Amino acid sequence: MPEAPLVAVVDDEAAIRDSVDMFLSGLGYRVLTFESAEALLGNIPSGHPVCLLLDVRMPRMSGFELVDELQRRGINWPIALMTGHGADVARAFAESSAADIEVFAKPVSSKDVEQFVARSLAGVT
Amino acid sequence: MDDSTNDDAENLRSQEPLAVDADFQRCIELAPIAVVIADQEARILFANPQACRQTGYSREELLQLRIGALFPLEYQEQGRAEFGQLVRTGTLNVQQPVVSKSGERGWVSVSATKLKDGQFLGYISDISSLKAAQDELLLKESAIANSISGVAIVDLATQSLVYANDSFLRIWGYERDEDVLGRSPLEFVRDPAFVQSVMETVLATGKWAGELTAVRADGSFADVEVFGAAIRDRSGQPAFMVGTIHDITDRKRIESSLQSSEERLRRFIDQVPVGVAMLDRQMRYLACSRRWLSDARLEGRDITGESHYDLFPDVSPEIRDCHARCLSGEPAKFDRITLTHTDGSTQHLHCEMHPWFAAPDEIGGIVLFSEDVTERFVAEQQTASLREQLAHTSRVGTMGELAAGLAHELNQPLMAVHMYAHTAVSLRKRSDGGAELEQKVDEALEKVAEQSLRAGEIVQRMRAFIGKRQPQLAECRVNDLVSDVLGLLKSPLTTGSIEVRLELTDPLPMVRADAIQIQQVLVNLIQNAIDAMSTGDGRPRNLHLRTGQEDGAVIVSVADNGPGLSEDARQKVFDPFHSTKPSGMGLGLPICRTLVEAHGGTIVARSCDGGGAVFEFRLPVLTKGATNA
Repeated sequence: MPEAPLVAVVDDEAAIRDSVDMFLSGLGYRVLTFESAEALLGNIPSGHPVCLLLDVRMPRMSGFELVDELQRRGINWPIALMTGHGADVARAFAESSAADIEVFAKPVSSKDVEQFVARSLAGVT
Repeated sequence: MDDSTNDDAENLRSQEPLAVDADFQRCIELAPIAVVIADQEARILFANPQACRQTGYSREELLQLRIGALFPLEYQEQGRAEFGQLVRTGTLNVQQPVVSKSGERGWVSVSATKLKDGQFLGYISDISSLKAAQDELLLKESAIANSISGVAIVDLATQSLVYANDSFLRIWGYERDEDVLGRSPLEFVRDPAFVQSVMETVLATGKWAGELTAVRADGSFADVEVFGAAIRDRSGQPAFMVGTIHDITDRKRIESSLQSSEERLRRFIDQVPVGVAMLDRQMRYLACSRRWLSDARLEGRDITGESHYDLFPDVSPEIRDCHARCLSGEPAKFDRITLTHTDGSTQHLHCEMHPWFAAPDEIGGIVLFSEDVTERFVAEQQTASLREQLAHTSRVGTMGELAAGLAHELNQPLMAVHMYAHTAVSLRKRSDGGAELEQKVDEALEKVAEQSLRAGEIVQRMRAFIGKRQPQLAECRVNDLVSDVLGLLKSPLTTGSIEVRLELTDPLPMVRADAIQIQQVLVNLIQNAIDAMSTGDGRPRNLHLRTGQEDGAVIVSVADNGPGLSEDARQKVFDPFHSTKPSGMGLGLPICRTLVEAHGGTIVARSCDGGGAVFEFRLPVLTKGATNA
């Protein structure tokens, strides 16, 4: 029996991490938050079906770079790219990437977050 | 004459006096001309009283002499030949020199004829004075002919040249006087009308002196100096005009080349487009350029010989001192001297003074240079004010970029608010209830409140950043500003256990700055340093504040021994919204940069060699205000 599904949240903004965590936890999901892409790469959850809520613009490694890095490592989680700057750029990136990506402009509504997670983890719960 | 003939003469003399008509004899005796009769041996047989007067001999003495005795020694031979001619041909007309009994020389004109009986009659007139006059005339004529001055004589009746000497021909380039004689004097000059008026002047006043341009035989010109004088006839009417002419072409050429080189130098000084003045040791003007005069508001004046201090009584003692030092060999330079003129206008001049040397070791006075830099100075001031406007514009320009950033920045708390609110809603919907759930709902709502407040703060800080506040510039001591700020931050520094090391260079030049804005910068930098060192790893926390001076700027640096800056962070640290701090918004350092740049300064960030970060800003030193010249 597979482990319980996980929602990983990577955002350098503490309020986002905390509020998304609280919201999804309230819906009964297991949530892991990371303040940077590097933090996630240093502690990649294994053995769990995972979906990823990912901020694009972060101080060091950007969300785009993390997507590419996960691809390189053969990790194909469904990803929600949350961008506060130019959703167009993020959509173009998503088009060009082999990863399963949905793009959301910040502020992302709770409904979008809920639906993305539900969709991504459907069938595994 | 031989002895045999002598005897015949004796015979003749012994004869009775000549048989002539008594009346005729009386005529001869009274004649105003000497009459002498001689025989063919040239012995004097008869002499009238006039002959005695002319020769100085008595009649008796004369009758003892031969004709030759009346001739000077050097004429004896020719005299004998002439007498021989008389004997042969029967007539003789000569002019010949004579010598009197007392040895006085003279000239006579002799007209002799052969009488019958081998006697010869001679009329002898004294032409000594005529001969002397002739000699004198000849001398003068020769003097004129050989003069290096050109001499020409114009007959006023015919208005033509009647005489021209060799020099005249040489000056005009003719070979023979036939080439010029008979021609009008007007043909030999470039300006005949002028020469016509000169001739009229000579007629009216008797003389004229001046310069003319001659037209030479080959058509070329020569400059000549002419003295003209009228020559009057016996009735007192001007009959001739004599002109004495000197060729002054060479002199003129030298004069004009001297004049032109002097003129060139004068024009150069006059027209050189900077103010130049040359003064003697007593500070009197020797020369100055037109620009100097216009800079000094003395257009059109001739100030040569005038004293600098009479012209400019307001010259400051400092400048007078510089003049004195310059006169002992020390040049001086003033980047900007500000003059206030009587008309109220202000002028900014760049000035230099240098000694000039009359001899290698003798200072003759000083040379002053001035360049009006008013326009440049005003332009620089305008540029400075433009730069200030630009600083605002670029801040506003950054604002365009910031507006997007602001949206993003606000989105963060807004999204969080949204999430927390929905968390609360969804928790409330759950049926499993209980105290724990209630607590979760409360927590979510509190976070809604907290994040909405944060959104408000962002708006507040943005407003502070955008608000255009004209810097209130005043002379400031940077060290004082640093000390003031340390006073303000005493509490957080103490709380953070931060040891402050102060390294203030004193004295420092003044800067022109808005004290409050520079304090804001300092507060921001020190606050950042405190935050950077807040990670509790137990190391001693050192804040190093330093002031100094370099290249016309006052430098302030704020160094910490926190984690320091990565190269990437160092490059982006002044960009808006690039905070590395969990609670930072990323506006502090951009604001610092804007404020420092508004003061004409710069700010940089770098990593410390021993770890930690250094933020260093520079403010331009207050340039010395204008000194009045």
